[in-house]
Amino acid sequence: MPATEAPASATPAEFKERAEAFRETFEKVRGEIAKFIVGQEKIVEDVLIAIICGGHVLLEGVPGLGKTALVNTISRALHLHFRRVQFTPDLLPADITGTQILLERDGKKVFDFQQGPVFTNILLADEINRATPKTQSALLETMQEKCVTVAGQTHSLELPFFVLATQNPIEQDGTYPLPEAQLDRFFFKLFVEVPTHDEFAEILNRTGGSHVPEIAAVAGADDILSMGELRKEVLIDDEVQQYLVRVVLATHPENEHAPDAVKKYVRHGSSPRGAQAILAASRVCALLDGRFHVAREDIDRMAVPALRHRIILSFEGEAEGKRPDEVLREVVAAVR
Amino acid sequence: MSAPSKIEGFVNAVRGRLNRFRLADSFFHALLAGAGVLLLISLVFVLRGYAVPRGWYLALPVAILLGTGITWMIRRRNAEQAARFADGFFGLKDAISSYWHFRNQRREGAVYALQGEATAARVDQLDPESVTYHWPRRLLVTTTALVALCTVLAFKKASPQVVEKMRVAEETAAKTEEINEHLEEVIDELEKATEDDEELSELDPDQLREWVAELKNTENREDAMRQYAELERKLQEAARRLDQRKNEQILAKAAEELQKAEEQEPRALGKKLAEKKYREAGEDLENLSPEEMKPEKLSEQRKELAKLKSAAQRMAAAAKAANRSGSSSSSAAPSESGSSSESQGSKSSSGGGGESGGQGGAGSSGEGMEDQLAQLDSAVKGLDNALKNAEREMSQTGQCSAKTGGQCESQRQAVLTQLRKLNQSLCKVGSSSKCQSRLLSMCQKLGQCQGYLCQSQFSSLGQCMGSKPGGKKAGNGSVESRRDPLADTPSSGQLTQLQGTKGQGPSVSTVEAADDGDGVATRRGSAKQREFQHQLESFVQREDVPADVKEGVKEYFKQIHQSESAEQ
Repeated sequence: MPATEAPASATPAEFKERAEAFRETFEKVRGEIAKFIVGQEKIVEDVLIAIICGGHVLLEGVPGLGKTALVNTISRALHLHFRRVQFTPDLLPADITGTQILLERDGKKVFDFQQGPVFTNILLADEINRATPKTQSALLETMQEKCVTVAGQTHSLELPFFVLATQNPIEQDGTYPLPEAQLDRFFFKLFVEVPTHDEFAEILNRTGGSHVPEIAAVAGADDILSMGELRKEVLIDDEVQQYLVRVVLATHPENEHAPDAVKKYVRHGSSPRGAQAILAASRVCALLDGRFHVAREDIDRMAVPALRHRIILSFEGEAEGKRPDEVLREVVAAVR
Repeated sequence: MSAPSKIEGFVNAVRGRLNRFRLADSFFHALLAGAGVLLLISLVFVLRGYAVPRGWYLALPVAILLGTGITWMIRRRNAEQAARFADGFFGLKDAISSYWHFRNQRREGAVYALQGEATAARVDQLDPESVTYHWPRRLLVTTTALVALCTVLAFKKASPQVVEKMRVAEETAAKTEEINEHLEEVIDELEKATEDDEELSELDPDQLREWVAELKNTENREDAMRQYAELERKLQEAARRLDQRKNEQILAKAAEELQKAEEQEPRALGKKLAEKKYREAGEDLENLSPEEMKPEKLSEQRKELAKLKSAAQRMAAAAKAANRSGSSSSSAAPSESGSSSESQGSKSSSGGGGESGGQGGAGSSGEGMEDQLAQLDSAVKGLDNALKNAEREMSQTGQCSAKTGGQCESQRQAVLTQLRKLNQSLCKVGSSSKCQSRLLSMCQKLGQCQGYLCQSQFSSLGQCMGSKPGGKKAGNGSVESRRDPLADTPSSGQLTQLQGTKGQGPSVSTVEAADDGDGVATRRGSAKQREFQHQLESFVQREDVPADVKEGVKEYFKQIHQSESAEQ
C-alpha cells in the first residue's frame, strides 16, 4: 500500500473541500504578507511551503533586505508567537534552549527550568554563522527533534515550530560556517535578492510614512498543522518518484547518470533528506496548483531551493566560482 | 460519460493520431533509406559500366513497404506513451500518465478518484485534433532528390566493354557445358572402342568420368581454362604412367634384327613387331615353343629350336644395343639441348636405372624387356646345349640317359616359362601403348576444346574438332626443331659420329652460328625453330617464373610432341 493512500473514510468531496481550503488559506496568508513585504513573492511562497512542511529555512542575503520584517509579518499573519535571537560569538547554548535556575519555593530550594527563546513558534536566528559551533549545534538539534533536553528533562516545543536562520554572505571574518551535517537540517536555503527599482520605491512608500499597514491574523497554528497533514495525501506516481530519485542521485559525481557539471564541480551530492524535502514541497506545490498528484514540474521547481545547500562543490567548482544553482539546473535538464 | 472512459477515449484518440503520424514518418524514412540504398547499388553498377538491373527497381517498393511496416510496428506508440505525450503536449503536468499508472496498478481511494475526476475535467476541455503532423520537409526534399538520381541512373546503359564481357561470359558458359558433355561422350566412345579387359582396366574410364564430373560449367574463361588444363595434366600424367617407349624401342630394334634373319619365322615375328602387333607377335613366339624331347627326333627338334634360338639371339642383341644407345644418348643429352632435353633424357634413361612410372612395370614380373630377352636367349641356349648333349649321348650309346632327359626337360620348361613371360610383357606393352595413345588422343581433343573455348571463330565444337589440332605455329616449330632421341637412330657403333653430335662437326657449328644471327638468311626455318626453342629454354630457366608455370609450358610442348608422334 502506498504511503499516499488516503484513509478509507474520506470521500472525494471532502478532499476537494480541504484542498480548496488549503489554497484559500495559503492565498490569504500570502496576500496579507504582501501588504507589508514588497516583492519577494517567491521567497514568501517558499517560506510558507517550508512552514507547512514543518521545515526550517536558511535565508541568505545582505542586511536590510527585510528578513526580520518577513518573519515578523508571517508570524502576525499566521497568528504565531515570534522571537528573534541575534547570534554572536559569546552566545551560549543555554541562552537559546534555556537553563535551570535555583528558586526558593515554599521554603524549599528547587531548580526551575527557565525556557529560552527557542520556546516559540517562529524563531529568527539572525546571523547564525556568528555563533560558535557549540551554540549552533544546540539550536540545530532542537530544530530536528523539536524538543529541548536540560538536566535530563525533555521539554517539547510548541508546534508549529519554525526556524528562519539568516546568513550574511559578506563580512565572513570571525564567522563559523555551518558544517554540512547541520546545513542538511534546513529544509530550504533561500537567497534574498536586492529589490528592483519599483520595489525600492514601494518599500519607501510603505515604510517611510506614518501609515504602517496592519497585518491581520488570517490563519492559526491549527490551520498550518492541518495543511501539513493534507499535503501528505497528495499522490505521486511511481514514475515521477523514480524521476525524483534520479534527480537526487544525479547530484552525486560517482553516479553514472550525473551530468558533466556534477562530475567536474561537485564533491558530494545530496542526502536522502534532500529527496524528502523535494517530495514534501512538491506535494504542497501540487495542491497550490489545484492538483492531487505530484508532477515532474513540481520536482524541478523545488529541486533548487531544497538541494542547493546539500551539494558540496569541489575545489575546482569553488575555484571557477560555480554556483550550486547552475549545477542543479544542469542536473534537472540532464535527468529530464 | 465517466472519468475513466473520458480519459481513455482521449488517450486513444491521441494515440491513433500519433500512430498515423508515425506511419507517415516510417514511410518517409523507409523511402529515404530505400532511395539511398538504391542509389548506392545503382552507383556500384554504373561505375563498373553495367546497366542497373530492373529487378532492383521492382524490389524497391516492396522493400519500402516492408520497412515501413516493420518500423511502424516497432515504433508505434502504446497508450502509456500516448498519455505521456498528451501530458507534455497539452501541459497537463503528468496528470494523464499518473492517472494511467494508478489505474493500471489498481489503486483505489478517494484521492485517486478525485485525481481521476480532475484529470477528466481538464481532458474534457482539450481536443485531440489539435495534435497536428509536422511534415518533415528536409527529409522529403532529400528523398525526392535521391529518387530523381536513381531514376536518371535507371536509364544508363551498359558500356560496350561490359556488353562484350557479358557476351563472353555467356558464350563461355555455353561452351563449357558443351565441352563437358562432349568429354563425357569421348570417354564413352573410348570405352566402347576398348574391347580388351586388360586395356579397359588400364584406361580406367570411371576415373576419367570422375575427372570430367569435377568440371564445372562456368562463365569465367580463366577458370574454365584452368580446369581444362588441370584435366589435361591429369590425362598426361595417366598417359605418362603407361609410357612404354623404352620397351617399344627395344622391340623395334628387335624387329629390325629379326627381319635380317634367314629363317622365315623370325622374319615374320620381326615384321609383326615392327608393325607393333605385339599380341600376335607374342602368339608367334609361343608357337616357336620347343616340344617335349623325343630321343628319336633330336635333330629335328634342334632344327626347330634353331629358329627360336636365332630369334632369341637377335632380340637379345638388339635389346643390348638399344640399351647401350639409350644410355649414351642420356649422357649426351644435357650437353646438347640444356634443360629442355632434361625431361626427355630422363624419360629415355628411365628404363635403364632410375625408372619411374610405367616403364618399370612393363614386364609383368617386374623385370625389364631387355632382361627378359636376355633370359630367353640364355634359356634357349641352355636347351640347345642340353639337346646337343642328348644327341651326342644318343650317337655314342644309342640311348638317352634319364639325367640328360631330365636336363633337357628342365631347360625346356625354363624356355617355356621365359616365352610365357615375354608373351605377357608383349601383351602388356601392346595394351599400354593403345591406352596411352587413347589418352593422348583424348588430350588432343581436350586441347581442341580449349582452342574452341578461347577462339570465337568457331561456331560449334564440331567445327573446331574438324580443324587441325595442336597449338600455334610456334609450338609446331619447337617440336620439329627438337632432335630425335638418339635411341631412334640406328646404332652404327661409330663413336666419331656420336661425338659429332656433341658439337665438334662443322654442320653443328653452322647451326650454332645461325643461333647468333649469322645464318638466318640461309636457314630461316631452322633458325626460327631454334629461336622458339631458345625462347622456351630461356623462359624455363628464368628465376622469376613460378615452377608450376614452367611445368605448364613444358607440358604444353611435350603434349604437342606426343600428339604429333601419335599422329605419325
